Amino acid sequence: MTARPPCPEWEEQLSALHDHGGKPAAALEKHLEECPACRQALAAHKTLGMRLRTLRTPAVAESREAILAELEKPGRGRQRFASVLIAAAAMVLLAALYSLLVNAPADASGRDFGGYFEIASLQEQESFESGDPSALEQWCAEQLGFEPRLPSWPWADWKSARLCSIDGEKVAVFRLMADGQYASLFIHPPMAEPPGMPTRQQPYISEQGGYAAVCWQEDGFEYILVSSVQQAGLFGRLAEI
Amino acid sequence: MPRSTPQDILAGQLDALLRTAYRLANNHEDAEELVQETCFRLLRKRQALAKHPNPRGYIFASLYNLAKDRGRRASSAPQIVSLPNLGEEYIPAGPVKVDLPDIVANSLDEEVEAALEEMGTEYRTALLLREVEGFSYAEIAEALGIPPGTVRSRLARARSFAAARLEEYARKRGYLGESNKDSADPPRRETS
Ligand SMILES: [Zn+2]
Repeated sequence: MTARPPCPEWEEQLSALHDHGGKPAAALEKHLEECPACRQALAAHKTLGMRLRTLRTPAVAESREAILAELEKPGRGRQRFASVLIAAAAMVLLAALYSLLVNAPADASGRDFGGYFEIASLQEQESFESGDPSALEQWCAEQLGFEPRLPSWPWADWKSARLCSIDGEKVAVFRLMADGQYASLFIHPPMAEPPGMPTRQQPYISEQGGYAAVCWQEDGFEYILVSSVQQAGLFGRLAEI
Repeated sequence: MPRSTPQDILAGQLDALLRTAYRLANNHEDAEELVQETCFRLLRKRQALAKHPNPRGYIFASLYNLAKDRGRRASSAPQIVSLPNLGEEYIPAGPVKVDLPDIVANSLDEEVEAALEEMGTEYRTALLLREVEGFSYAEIAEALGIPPGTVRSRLARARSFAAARLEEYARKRGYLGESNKDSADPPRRETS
C-alpha cells in the first residue's frame, strides 16, 4: 500500500467531511468505497487533528497570568492609544507641511515616543473645506455619527476637516491656521471607558519630528493639537484659556 | 443573565490566543507580546468587540493581522527554517509498507511542527483554528478575512500538504522502507 494524497477532485470534500462529520454525499461515498487513497487520506485527517491537539506549547498558564495582570493596569490601553494618536497627528501635520497630505509615509512614526506604535493603518479619508467652524462640525457629524465641538479660539483660522482612520478608530482631523502656521487638531469620539488622559498636559515636544503636541479632554472628547515646534506661542495661548 | 464584558470575552480566549500565537511567532516571548498587543487593541475597540456577532473570529482576526504585519516587517531578516536532523538514530528494520494514518500517527512532534511551519501562515492558522481551537468555518473566515468557501479549500490543502510532508519525513527517517514515493509540493497559493 502506498500512501498518496487524496484524489485532487475529492480533496476538498474529504476535508469538509472530516470537519463536519455526518454521512458523505452519495458520490463521495461511492468514491470512498473504490479509492483506498481517499479512505486513507480521510483517516489521516483524523490522526493529524489529534497530533495537532497534543503538540506541546510552552507555559501558556504563566503567560496568561502575566497578560491578565498587564491588562488590569488602569488606563494602560488608553495611554497607548493617546500616544498613537499623537504620533499619527504629528505625521499628518508634517505631511501637511510638506504638501503630502495623501498617504503620509508610515515611517515618520512614533519612534521618538519611546514605544512601539502601529500607525500603518493611518489613512486619509474624505475631507471637507470650509472656513466656518459650524459647517465643519456639521460635516463631521454627518460622516462620523458624533458631533465634535470645535473650541472657540478667536485666533484660529479654520481650514478644513477630514476623517482619518487610525488602527480602525475613526478620528476627525481639523486643520487650522494660527499666526500664519498650520496646525492639526484631532478630535476623538468619546469612549465608554473612564478617561485616562491627563488634562492639559505639558506639550510633548518631539526630538526628531519637529513638532509638538498637547492633549486634553473636554465634554467627553479627546483633543490633540499638533503643531510645528516653532509655534510655541500657540501652546502658550492654550494654557491661557 | 448578565452579558459578558469585553474583558471576560478576551480572558476566555487567552489560552487559545497564546497557543495560536506561539505557532505564528514560533517563540514564547514574541507570542506573549503578540497576544498582549492584540488584547490592548481589542480593548480599545471594546464596543465593537462587545457587539460583534462573531467575537472569536473578530479576536483572532486581530491576532492574525498583527502577526502578519510583524512578519512583513521582520521579513527583511530572512527566516531560517531548519528541519530537524532526521534519521541519525534510526536503525532501518528492513522494508515496511505503512499506511498514511500510521505515518501521521508515528511522526515525531518536530516533524509535525516543521510541516506546520512550512505550509505558510494562512494555511497553518486555518488548520490550527479548526483542529486545535474548534473554530467553525465562519469563525475562521472572519479571523482570516476570507470567504467561507476559501476556508474549505485552505483547510483541504493544508491537510494534504501536512500528510504528504509527514510522509516525506518518514521516508527520510527510513520508516517507510522503499514504498511510499510521493513528495509534497507546498500548497498552491490562491490567486486573489
Ligand atoms: Zn480517491
